[in-house]
Order: sequence, then C-alpha cells, then structure tokens
Amino acid sequence: MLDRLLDLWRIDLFRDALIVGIAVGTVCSLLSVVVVLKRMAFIGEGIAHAGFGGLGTAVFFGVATGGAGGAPWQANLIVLAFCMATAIAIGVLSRRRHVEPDSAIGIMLVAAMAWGVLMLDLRRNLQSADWYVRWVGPARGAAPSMEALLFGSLLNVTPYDAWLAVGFGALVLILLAAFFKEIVFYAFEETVSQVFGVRTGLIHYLILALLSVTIVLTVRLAGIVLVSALLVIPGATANLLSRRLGQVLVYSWLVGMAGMIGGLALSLEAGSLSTGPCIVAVLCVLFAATFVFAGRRASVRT
Amino acid sequence: MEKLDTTGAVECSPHGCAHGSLSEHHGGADAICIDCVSFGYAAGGQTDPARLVLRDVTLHVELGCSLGIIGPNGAGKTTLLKIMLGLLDGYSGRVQVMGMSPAAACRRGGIIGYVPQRHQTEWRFPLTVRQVALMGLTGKTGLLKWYSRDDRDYVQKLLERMGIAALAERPIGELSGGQQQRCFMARALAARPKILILDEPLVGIDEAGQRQFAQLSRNLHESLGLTMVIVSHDIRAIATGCSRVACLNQTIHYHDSPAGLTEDVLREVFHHEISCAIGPSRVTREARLATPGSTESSRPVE
Repeated sequence: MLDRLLDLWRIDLFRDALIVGIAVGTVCSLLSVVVVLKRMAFIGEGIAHAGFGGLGTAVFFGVATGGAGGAPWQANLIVLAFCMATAIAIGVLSRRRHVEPDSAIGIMLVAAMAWGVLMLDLRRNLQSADWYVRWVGPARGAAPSMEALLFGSLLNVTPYDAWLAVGFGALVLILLAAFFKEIVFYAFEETVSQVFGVRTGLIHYLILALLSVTIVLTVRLAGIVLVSALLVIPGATANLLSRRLGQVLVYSWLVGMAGMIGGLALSLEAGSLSTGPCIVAVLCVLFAATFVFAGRRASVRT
Repeated sequence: MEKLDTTGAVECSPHGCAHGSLSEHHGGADAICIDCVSFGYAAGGQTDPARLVLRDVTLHVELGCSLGIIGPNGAGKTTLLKIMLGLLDGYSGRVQVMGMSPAAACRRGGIIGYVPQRHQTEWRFPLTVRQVALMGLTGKTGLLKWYSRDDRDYVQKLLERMGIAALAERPIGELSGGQQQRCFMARALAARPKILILDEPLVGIDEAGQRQFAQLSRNLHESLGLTMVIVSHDIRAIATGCSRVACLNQTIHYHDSPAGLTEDVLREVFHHEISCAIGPSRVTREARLATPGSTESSRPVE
C-alpha cells in the first residue's frame, strides 16, 4: 500500500492533487467541526452550490476553469464572489425571520444552480454569434464538462491550485485559530455569547467568509455537489467519538485526511473513477463504521 | 475558602440618570436604570399600542441590592431581560446599566454576568466544565488574545467555591442540572461583574439543588458585593434572599421589599394563571401560601 502510494507520488498530477487534498482536507475537516456544532451543514451546502453559479459565469466569460487553461485566478475570484454574495443574501433574507433560514438557503441554492446551467448553455449557443466570440475570445479547447464541475476531477488540479490551496488554507486556519474562543462560544450559545461580549455579527460573517474561501479551494478537487460532504462528515464522525473539543478537532482532521488520501488513491487505483465520489465514499464508510462501533456507546453516555 | 479577589472589576460611577422625583429612585447610585420603557413587537412596521408587551416600565436597581422580578408567563419578563442585556432594540424610554447603554456594558465585559435558562443550552456540545466557565472571560479578554493567567486562576477559585472544581475536566453534559447551573454561575462571575442576572434559575433544578442555589446566591451576593437580578415566573424565586421584589405584568405592579408584598398585588399579577390552575375560589389562600417567609409578611402593610 505504502509502496503504491510512493509510486503514485512520482506522478506530478497525483502529487499536485495530494498537496491540494491535504491542504483543503485539513481546512475542511477543522471547519467542519464548527459547521456541525453550529448546525450550519445546510448553509455550507447552499454556499457550495453558489459556487456552481460562479463557475458557470466564469465559463460564460471565457475564463478558463481548469485543464490546460493556465492560471484561472479570475475564475476563482468569480466563484468566491458568488459564494460570498450567496452567504450575504441568505443572511439578509433570513434576518428578523422574514424568511426562515432554511427556506432562504433552499431558494439561493436552486437559483445558483439554474444560473450556472443557463450560463453554460448560453456559452454553447452563442458560439455562432460574432459579437460574443469577439468579446470573450474563441473557445480554447473544450469547455469543462458539467460532470467535472459537479463532481470534481483530478484533471482539474494544476500546480497553481496547489499553491493557492496551501496559501489560502493557511490563512483560513490562522483566522480560525485567532477567533477560536469567540467562534466556539458563538456556536455553543449564540445569544448568550453576545451578552458576554462576542460580536456575533462579526463572527457569523467571518464563519461564512471562511466557508466561502474553503469552498473555492475545494471545488476543483471534490466538485460542487460533494464539497459539503467534506464540511460535514469529518466533524459529524468526530462528534461521535468524543465529547472533548480538542479530541474532536484531532479526530475530525484524521477522518478528513483519511478521506482525502484514501479517496485520491482509490480514484487512481480503480481506473480513473471521479475523485469527489471516491473521497465521499471513503468518508461515508468511515462515518458508518464509527456510527456502528462508537455511536451506540456515545448515545448511552448522554 | 479564601476571600475572592474582586479587584479589577469596573468602578461604579454615578450614572447620568435624569428622572427626578420618581419614588422608585432610592437615592445613591443605581446599577440599572429603566425609565418609562415601552415595547411592542412590530406588526407590519407599526407598533400597535394595544399590543404592547411592556408598558411604561420604570425600575431602578440599586447597587448592591438583590432584586427578584416575578410575573406570570407572557408578562414581558423575557423582553425586559433582553432589553437589560442589550439584545433587543427599538423600545421607547431609556435604559442604562452602570451609566452605559446595555449593549455597551455587555461588550465591555466585567459589568454584567448572565446565567441563562437551562433549556436554551445544547448540553451535548463537546466542552468541559472549565472551558465553559472560561467563556465568561471572552469580552474582558478581547479579540485575538487568550485568557490571562490571573483570570484563569480566578476561574479555578470560582469553580472551587461552586463545589465543582473536581468536575472541571468533565464534559458539561455529564453533570447534574444543579452542577450545570453552578458551572454557569462560575462563567457569569468569571469576569468579576458588578451585576449578576439570572433567568429562571429554579427551572429544571430539583429541590435540593434549589436550596443549595438559594444558599449559594445569598452567599455570593454578600461576599462579592454583587447586584443581583433574578427573573422568574416562580414566586419561590424571591425566597432565594431577594431584598427587593418587582412584580411585572406588562408594567410594574409592585416594587419594594418582599415583606410588603400583599395578596392583592399577587392576585393582580398572577390572577389569570392561578385561577386557570386551581379555580377562582382558592386563589386567595394559595397566593398566601406561595408567598415566602411568614404569613404575616404577606398581609397588607399600611
């Protein structure tokens, strides 16, 4: 097994994917503890799907979204803008309970998906229009397939992505650590934390911003649909294993790493299976095993 | 038990409360000033005067006094509490806590300590007793800093005083209701506040725990020179050693020492609830029994 991993390490593509995988896996699995404890799983999913609207828009404007297209920082920026805008829109819609938060998330989720698909369609349909081709330039290579956008693929990862993931992953972790005591208190008791001097508005949007950045980093590898798995399963699994925050963070990270590395290896070993589903499959197996073996013990104790 | 060190607490300053001749104002500095506060939950942007939750509430809590605010369900206790804690805006009238707006007092830390209702808490959250108690220091410590050595030692002393130091490393969910409450008391006192506000402290606590709580709160009130506010729908709450009692049902019906609390006042405030439960004929007798202290003290005082 280890030999095989070392062989794989010599493949550039796998190495880049593994670097991104470890970086985003670390960030996602630690953030997932917050997501699970604050019960933000669905909002994470909403923001992740907003990323699809962003990717569709990026494709429409002829910005490369992977493959041999070079450094697609504009695409990342557009995706990030969509994620942040969705996070803010959900916050505004659900403030003062005009709309229930889960309804707001549901609406934004489908809106962003539809927008993304329409943008991809428009790009295809407008290839014959002169003004469009002049505007965005001719299509370079094949547009990324819908499947690659939704479910992720190793081929989407470039060395540029690896550096981006490491850099921004470190930034997210630093912010998470810097505001750790406020974030934990906010997740534990939102209203009470405000009385004890936590700026709850700041922390709320900080968490959403961290989620958005993390999702931008992760979509290339895991794909839009499956990003939220990385933001939920490690934290949920770790919560079955321990009632101590330090241990929960460590277990969550271990589960995330196992999912990432195991999933990547599986995806290559089994003959180019899609990366995202492979990672999620490994994570789900880990969760199921934990639930069966540790879940019963945990539920007895509480 | 060594004496707790309260240096570092905020100096009480004369507040800028300008109301003149109200009889509720007993001279000296007030910890909390509530002047002519009315509040109604807006329906369609317009507050309906007939549906006010609080009407012209004027309440002054002297420094160092211990006040029980009692009233039936739906009397506006929670609303008044939220206003005192700076969680609710949009009221008319004026509220000051140690000469500051409630929100400013909370953000500063070290002024208000708050013990929330038990049922609002997610007890399965992976936190130890010590971690929960330390959370009380969040506002005082400030962003990007960790709790100081001195403050952590103080929290240890508080845990010892609450009799839960031996449980400090246990997950909060494994404690009994009374122990959890004492952990929350330690958290509320961690930043050495001047004012301690308790929301329904008797709910979900068994009888032994209630007695223990009464003794503890009397003890803390005296040794720390705290100003205490206990909000409860349960008349027994004022038996926990309140030197003053305020009866709230939309407006303040009575505000003085418990000895002067009459059947008439209790009937007026609690009438609806008592008659619902036991029928109108038995209200008088039950109200007398429910008053703490001797039955003489519940006779009208001329």
